[in-house]
Amino acid sequence: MSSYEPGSFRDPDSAVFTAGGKVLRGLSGHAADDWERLSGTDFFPRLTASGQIVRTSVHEGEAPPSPRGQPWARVLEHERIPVVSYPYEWPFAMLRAAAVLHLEVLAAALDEGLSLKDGTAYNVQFVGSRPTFIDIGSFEASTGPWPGYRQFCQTMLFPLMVQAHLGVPYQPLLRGAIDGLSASDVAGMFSGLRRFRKGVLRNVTLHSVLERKVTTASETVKSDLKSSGFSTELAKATTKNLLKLVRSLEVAKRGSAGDDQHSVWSDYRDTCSYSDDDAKAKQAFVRGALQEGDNGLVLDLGANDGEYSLIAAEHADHVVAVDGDEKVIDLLYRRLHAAGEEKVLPLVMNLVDPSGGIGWRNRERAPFVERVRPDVTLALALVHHLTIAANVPLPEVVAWLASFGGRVVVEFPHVDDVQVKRLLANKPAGLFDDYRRDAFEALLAEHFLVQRHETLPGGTRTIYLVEAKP
Amino acid sequence: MFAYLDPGSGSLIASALVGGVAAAGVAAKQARARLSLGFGRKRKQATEFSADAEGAEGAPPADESTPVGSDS
Repeated sequence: MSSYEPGSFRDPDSAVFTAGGKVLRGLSGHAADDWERLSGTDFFPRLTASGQIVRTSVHEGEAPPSPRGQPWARVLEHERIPVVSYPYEWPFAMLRAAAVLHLEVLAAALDEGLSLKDGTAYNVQFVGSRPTFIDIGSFEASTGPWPGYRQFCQTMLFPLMVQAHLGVPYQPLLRGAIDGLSASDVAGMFSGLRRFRKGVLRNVTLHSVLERKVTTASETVKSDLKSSGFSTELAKATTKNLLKLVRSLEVAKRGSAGDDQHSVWSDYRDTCSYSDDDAKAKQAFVRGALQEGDNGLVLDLGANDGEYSLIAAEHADHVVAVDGDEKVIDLLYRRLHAAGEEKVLPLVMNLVDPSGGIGWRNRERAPFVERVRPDVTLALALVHHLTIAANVPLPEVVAWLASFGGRVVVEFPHVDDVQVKRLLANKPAGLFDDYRRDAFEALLAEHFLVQRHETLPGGTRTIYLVEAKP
Repeated sequence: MFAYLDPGSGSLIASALVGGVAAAGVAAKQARARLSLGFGRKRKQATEFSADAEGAEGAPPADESTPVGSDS
């Protein structure tokens, strides 16, 4: 039983499929030649050993024909990425880390006579906080300019620049277009004096003009550039300058007017309403819940600063920490990355509007719920936000939690909880009369087997460990 | 040579520009030949770009004798 990865059809010379739980990649004759070159380089074993390129070996078993009906010349096996995530779910520091890694891999390849045939953010995945380059089919013997430059701009450099220079979040833009932001779209955003921000003139303004004016076929331009002296040295210089630019965008982001370094949630830990006793009891309950059963993957919904994700990581193989607030997740990523933490994957996503399927037939990039199938789901200090702030009916919230399957640790703040009162104060009286503990417990009993529950010492919140009914 | 991706003609030249001064010279020649913008006279071409090429650190000088875009 094998199936092709729907996001892997664009390159006719290489396609990823799964068979018998393994992640395999078929290569055409051309691509197999490039694989031989790649495996003979110095950088490939070095960067796979460090985890910067996905670990890959030759697969000797059977393989299905390519999606185009051709037999493969060679089949490779990749190490499985625990949880697949996409650039529209990454905070700034993650996309920037992905861009830096992509350029570093390119630079290493250029040093040994290879190049990359594309430059998309989808070439990178994260194992916890470690970015890893996954598109082994992208390496090719080449001496010309980097053909992936446009894709790199559209899916990584431009998104980073609009966030860094203009304070515009790129996640909705990348989610809206699988090919990313075009040079002409971005040029419109950098009008007037904004075009003098770092890297904009060459990569955006001039780029968009050239895209519009140069109508010669790409292959002709490529050979002209080569015959005009465009050597590997110049491709290296391009890569080096891009690396310098991408690394500098960090500073630009900190100084930009759109970024005040604070958000509603970034100071949550300092201002939240938990007493020390409540926090301790809650931590003990979560630890206890995770000490039983299979904790392969824990999903922490509304993870905030990742406190409970890190507790979960003590007991789980992998943790996905999701929050709708980019700044808290960005901060969490930086902390995880600095600590070399590879179990916790931090992602930005509005839980009321999760990532759907995008690209060809809406299948090229899978919806979040298809990629993340947790054994345990944490929904701490979340239900009141979904119900009262986002108007999701309580029965819907409970059915949604049940849809993740497995065990769920869910916290229900009572109607007299200070945070619930605060949220209710923003809504007309009487709208949320069904927000009651007994109603919540009846819904839990409908979908789950309740294993145990505990009211926190403060008396205004109850936490439950439940298991989805088979 | 086996590229599946259209890198985009304008993007290829833009990537050369990002590469630095010498690349900018190459790209400008390319653009002039392709667009027939007509800045500068033909006989000035050699001196116009050789200075650029020499000024680029670590980059080989562009081959001034190579005709660029002769098919346009």
